[in-house]
Amino acid sequence: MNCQDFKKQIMDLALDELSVESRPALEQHAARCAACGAQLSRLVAVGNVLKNGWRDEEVPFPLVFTPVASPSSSGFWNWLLAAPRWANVCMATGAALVFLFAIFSLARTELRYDHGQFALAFGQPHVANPSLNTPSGPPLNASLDTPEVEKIIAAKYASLSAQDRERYGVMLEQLSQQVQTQRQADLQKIGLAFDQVKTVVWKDMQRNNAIVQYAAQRIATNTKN
Amino acid sequence: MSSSKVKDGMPIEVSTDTELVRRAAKGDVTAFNALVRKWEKPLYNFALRLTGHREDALDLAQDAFLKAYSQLCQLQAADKFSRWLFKIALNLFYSGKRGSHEGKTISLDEEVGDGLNLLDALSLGEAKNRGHSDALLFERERARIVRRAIAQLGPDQRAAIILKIYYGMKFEEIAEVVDCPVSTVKSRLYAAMENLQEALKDCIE
Repeated sequence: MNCQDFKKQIMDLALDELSVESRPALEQHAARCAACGAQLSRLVAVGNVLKNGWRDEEVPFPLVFTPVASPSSSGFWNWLLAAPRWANVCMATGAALVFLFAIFSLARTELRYDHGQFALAFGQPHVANPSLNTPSGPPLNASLDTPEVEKIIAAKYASLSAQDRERYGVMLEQLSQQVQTQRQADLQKIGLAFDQVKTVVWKDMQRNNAIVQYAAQRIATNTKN
Repeated sequence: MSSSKVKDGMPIEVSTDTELVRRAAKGDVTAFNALVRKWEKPLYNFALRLTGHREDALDLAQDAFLKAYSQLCQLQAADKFSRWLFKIALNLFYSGKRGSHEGKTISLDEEVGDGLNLLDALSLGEAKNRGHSDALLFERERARIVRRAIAQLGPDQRAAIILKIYYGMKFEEIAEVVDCPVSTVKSRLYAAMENLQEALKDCIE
């Protein structure tokens, strides 16, 4: 063994962490090499000075315990603390779900699935558009101004409270405006289409007149000849 | 497990930690007090070397025992009670509950002159009266240097060196108490030994 190898293990030797088999080689080297031997002596001396320089003291007074409740008899919390981790996870998850449920209940939360999308709402329960949500009403793609729909809206409107009437009044007004806008747009489209048709018909008439005149001229020329 | 021994002609029951822990976990306060009696001195001295303050050390030891009692059901390996107890004390120490006495009360550890604390000074006065002050003075001086050398180490190195030197724990056992890898424990110990070699050079040369 050389000094380099010795220095790699000198701390473990001084701290008594080496196996019985590996000690002799190091001890022999320490006995042969004065520098390594002195270094080892210093480290061992550090341990001895620490041990002898601060001996154990007596406890000022004996510690005696008189617990109020025994650890095994203090019920649920001790059971929970001692339970395996999976049980703790299950309990925590359950508690979190109950807490969330309570919060959602208090906030009157409503989770809806509407037209392929989930919607979360708090507060007043959601009331769908009465004209579209009525089971006996017309299908969604039916015309909105059919007498049946008007009747259903009128019936629903009559049964609403004042607050709801105001709310749905605004909704109906908005809906009505949308219908009017849509109707005007449709009429404009129809008007445009009519104009286009008129133009085409006029052009056809002009062309036909030209053909008739041309044919008449040819007939007249042929008759003269 | 328990074995019978004879003391003053009377057989006494010597219970192992494992058995005492099992009994204490079932609510046997006597068994827990037996554990306290067995481990109070090592734990108090461990705390004293960590904190460097007798009052704090006593508080720390008491808190550690109380916490151990309340968490006894969680101790999976009852045979490792002592290391678990030391770990609790160390965690309490790290959590910063200790060391609050400095500057608030007059400590018995505070130096009152000539590098002596109050207890040392009282002992020295008594020794001088008895005519053997030099040997005692040397002992006290060495103790003061050792205390100061340990105190100047960082908490991690201090804990590792105390467990190694005063409790003879192996690297793996220290790693269990301080809750870190063995390699970390080794590096802390090596660094602590280097620091102590320098701090204690007057005592070892």
